[in-house]
Amino acid sequence: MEKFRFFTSPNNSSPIHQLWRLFKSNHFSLVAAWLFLFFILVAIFAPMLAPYSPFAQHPESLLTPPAWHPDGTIAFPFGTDALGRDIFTRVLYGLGFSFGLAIVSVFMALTLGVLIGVFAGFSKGIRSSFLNHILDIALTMPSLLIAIVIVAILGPGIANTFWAVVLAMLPQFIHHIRTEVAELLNKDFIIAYKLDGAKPSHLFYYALLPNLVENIIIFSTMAISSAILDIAVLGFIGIGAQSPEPELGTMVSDSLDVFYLNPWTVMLPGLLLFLCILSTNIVGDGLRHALKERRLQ
Amino acid sequence: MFNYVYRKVWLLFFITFAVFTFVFSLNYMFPGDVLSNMTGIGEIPAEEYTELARIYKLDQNVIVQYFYFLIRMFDGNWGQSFTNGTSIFDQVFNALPATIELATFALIYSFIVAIPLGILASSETKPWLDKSILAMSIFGFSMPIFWLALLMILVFSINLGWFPISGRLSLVYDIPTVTGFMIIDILLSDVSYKREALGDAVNHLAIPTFVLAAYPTTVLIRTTRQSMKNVMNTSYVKAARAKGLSHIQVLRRHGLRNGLLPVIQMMGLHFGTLITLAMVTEVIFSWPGVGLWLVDAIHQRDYPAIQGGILAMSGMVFVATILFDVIYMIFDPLARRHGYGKI
Amino acid sequence: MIKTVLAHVVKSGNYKRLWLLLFCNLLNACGQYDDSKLAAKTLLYCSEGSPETFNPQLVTSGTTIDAVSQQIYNRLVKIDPTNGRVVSDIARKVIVSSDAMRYRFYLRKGVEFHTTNYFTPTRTLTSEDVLFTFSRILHQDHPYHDVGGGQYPFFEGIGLSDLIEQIIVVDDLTIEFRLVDPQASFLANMATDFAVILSAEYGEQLQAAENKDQIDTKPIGTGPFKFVQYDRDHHIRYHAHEKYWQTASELQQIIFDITPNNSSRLAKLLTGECDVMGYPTASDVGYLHSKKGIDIVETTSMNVSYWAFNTNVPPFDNANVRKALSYIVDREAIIDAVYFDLAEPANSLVPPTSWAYDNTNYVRPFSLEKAKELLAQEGYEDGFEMDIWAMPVQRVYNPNAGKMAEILQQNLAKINITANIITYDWGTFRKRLAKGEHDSVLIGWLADNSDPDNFYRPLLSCASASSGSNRSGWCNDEFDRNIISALSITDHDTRKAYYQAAEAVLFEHSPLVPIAHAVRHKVHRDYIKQVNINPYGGIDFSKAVKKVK
Repeated sequence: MEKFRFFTSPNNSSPIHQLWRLFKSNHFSLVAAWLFLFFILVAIFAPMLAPYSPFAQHPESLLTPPAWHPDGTIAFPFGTDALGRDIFTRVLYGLGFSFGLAIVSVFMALTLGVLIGVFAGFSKGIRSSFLNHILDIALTMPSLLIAIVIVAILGPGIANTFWAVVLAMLPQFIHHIRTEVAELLNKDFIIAYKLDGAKPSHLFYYALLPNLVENIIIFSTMAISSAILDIAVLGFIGIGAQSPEPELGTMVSDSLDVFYLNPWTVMLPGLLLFLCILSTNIVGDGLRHALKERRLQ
Repeated sequence: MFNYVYRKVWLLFFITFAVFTFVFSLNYMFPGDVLSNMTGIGEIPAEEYTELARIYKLDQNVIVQYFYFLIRMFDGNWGQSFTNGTSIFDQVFNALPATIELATFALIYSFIVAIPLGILASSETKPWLDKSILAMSIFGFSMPIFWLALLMILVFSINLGWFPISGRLSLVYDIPTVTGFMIIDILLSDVSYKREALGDAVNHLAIPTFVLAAYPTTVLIRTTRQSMKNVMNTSYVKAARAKGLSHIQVLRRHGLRNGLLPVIQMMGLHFGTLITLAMVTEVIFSWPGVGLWLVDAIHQRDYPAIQGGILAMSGMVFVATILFDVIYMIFDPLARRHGYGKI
Repeated sequence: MIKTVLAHVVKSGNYKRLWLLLFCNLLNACGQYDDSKLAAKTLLYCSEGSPETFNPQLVTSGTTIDAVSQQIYNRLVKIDPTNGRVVSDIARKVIVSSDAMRYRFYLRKGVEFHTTNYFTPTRTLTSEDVLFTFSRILHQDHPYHDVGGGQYPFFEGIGLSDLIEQIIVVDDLTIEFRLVDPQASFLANMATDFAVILSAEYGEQLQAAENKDQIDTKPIGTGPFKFVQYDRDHHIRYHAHEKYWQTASELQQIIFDITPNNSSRLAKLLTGECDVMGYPTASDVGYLHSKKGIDIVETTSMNVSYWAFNTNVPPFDNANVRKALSYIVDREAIIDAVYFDLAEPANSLVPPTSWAYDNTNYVRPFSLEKAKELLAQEGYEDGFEMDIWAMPVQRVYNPNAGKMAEILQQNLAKINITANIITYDWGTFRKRLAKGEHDSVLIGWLADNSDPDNFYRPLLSCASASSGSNRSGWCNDEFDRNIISALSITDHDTRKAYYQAAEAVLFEHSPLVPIAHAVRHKVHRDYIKQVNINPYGGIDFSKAVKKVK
């Protein structure tokens, strides 16, 4: 630090910028990030991109194989399912359900989690201890099990699935943010803020939030991957989105009847699901790695 | 030590209380009549209603109701199923061993596979090995379990015809239930086709175990790798090296002993996920465990059964978590010191 | 311990060998799986649902008939599957009086009942047992009449209690049925899978033990297999009846592996977990043709799938609404998507294989315009909301009711009708259906015997409307008159004219819309021989053999 560096200019870029620089130095992560972005765009613009309605049946071409198969046709790039619905269309919409909904639910859980987590981080004494115990219990329960319980109470359906996934993730978010906040509150610069007479709201906006952001992003990425999986699993075991909704997990279980005859009806939605989760996981991993490296620098 | 046990017992008590409170509240949260949800009798005849309500203390305040609810629960009276009228307690405890058996085998399998791979990956001399093992683990981690299961079925059962895909044992064999654990039951049984049945049971276990083990294996590989890296960089390992111990000796005497501790702890943390994944596995492979049973109950809107299933699943998760914690404590004397009531 | 093993593995660097070792062990076990002794003497049948009871008298469902009738019981007479004629079973001969009102059955000697851990018979079959069996159905005051609900839907549907005047025990092995009116289909009905013979001795024993319900849950019969174990929704286990009056089965046991999910059944057949698969869908059949080691035989089957409207609830009490909806059934699309072309579109209730079939068209073609027009006439141009109940199981006549319902739902949406698809598990579904909680239902019928009467009376007569097998709850005098008149005559051509008249009434009122007649397939591993599917009823394993190479 103290040494005068002749050839390297001091690094003045913002922490986020540094993070990004480190992140993109890993090619795998970068590819995954592009894929992730691509999936988001597809999820948003699915209705414009899709050639058909996801519910439209084409009785004249049932179980058409995908276009690369000798019997396939370009009219149905990924083939059709047992009711003659275009799998390509359904997969595009399915991204909206599985991927889009996962992201929205993570945002939802995040918002609630930040509110409650920060409040909890500020609290002390019995209230904090009680919250601790409840959180510990909720954390031991895997999110999928919580989601299943909630769906069992609310009944199946895509809207209920959404809330179930949000509520199931909430304890993790609260716990995570609470720990971060509690740690930050002991830091000197926060005490300095306090001594300067900052109100809690100011403290939150100007001191806590900027220091939380990175962690939240990384944590959320990991949460998205588990949310995608939870939504899909709920759909698959038949208690999440209901057929004919084009949700990827539901599509897989819907097509199980023709699985042995026409494996692509199951394999394509599954593959897409896998790619979604994989890209999210690699991005999350990459971010975590980059953050670790930046802190080492 | 005493402090540690005291804290754990207190925690167990608190958890039990919380879980039972939650399950009790389900009676009110589920749609339908509260008394029906409690007793499991779908349509209660009007003339019996008041009598039953009196027995279940519905005419009194919630605290009294809760108290009697607890008594019933500890008595093994979990109500009866809406769909077939059988005792839920019996059904749950008939199904539980199947789940535990599957989860145990998956866990053992993942230990056997993951720890050597994790150690290999931690070796700094072969970065390509590290990279490929890590890549494999992230692939395994991202694979939706039901998709993996279907792929395995397609390749190994349908196309190659090597493994059966449903249940724990072919129906050909009639093994009397003693413990509920199939392998143990077969060994205990007194039938002429023991060997035949054992081979069949092992075959039935193969794919479900592999599928279920995929997730814990990837988690374990990463944990082992990280913790071995940390351990191998500690000064005591460096000291051991400097003393002239061979790599294997260092690994055996110092590396593994310390490196595997976080692995045990990690397993405790992920046991809950393992149980939920077991649920999905059970559904795909018609494995007659508590997960399959619970999913069926949800499909049938069998509320008393759902309650029982949730109680059993969460009970299993908590007991396992605490068990792993205790094991961890036994292996790691340092952990006993700060034995906060944390799970 | 584990640590040492691991250390050893690490030392020798032998992960691959360890892994291979494990794998080979598993494969070895695989090898044993096929030629082991017990497995070679066990036939596994993947069935599609749980039987409701073990007494076929009480039901009409094919699931129960498959699981129970041919395995546990015998009938007085049976139908020869090759030509549809009635031939002897445990009655060695039947003498019919010239006025067709007295039927005398001469029973075989030495027909043994099952010996099980819950019953040991002291005598062989006599006329007492036949009397006991039919008295249970006929006499309201019979101690067993109300056991199991007191409903005998098949026999109520054919009006047996009004038909039989008296049953007379002539001697130990001779019994005579006297009818009120001559009836052409009497013997055919006695040959159905419902008319099984129970044990009177077992009945007395249970009555003395005050455990009468057991007669239907732990059955005793004279058939080729005896009951051992039943685990609801899981499996049924039968052992061979060593003292069967015909040649005893070569098999040691047969097991019904209850697998409601269609693709699971297919998968189990492919992995060899099942030897015989019940109810393959047409798509499965096409796929299985490409697989080695599987035998596929097309069998004749008299069946129909239909869409029935509950005529007791508005707006379906209005015949024009029903007619309008019958225009939206796109048979071509359905046969394509649901039956994968292995069915023919129905143009009347009876299938073309029946002698009562005539090439006249009694169904409305697919036409959305006509449907709209008719609905507008009745003031429903804005449509309404309705439920379509789709049965949750595969049957011969309908491999996938859910998918069929989705196709109808699509077309209904085009005429502004919102349709909700409803389904429950099979038991609940039938219970609620019998209570008439539905708007409309997709279901079907598999004939129990070769007589066309078996289509009309159980499905649409006024008697069946009260006993519950008439899913439309429809009752029409003119229709009933026609099908009753047809019964008193033996001449096929005259009867056919009556049935055609009944079809015309049916067309005019449309309480149900016939959709398709499906082809049934028998699918099993090639080492299984001689499994028979009765064209008018259940599957029969009495002669089955398993020859594993």
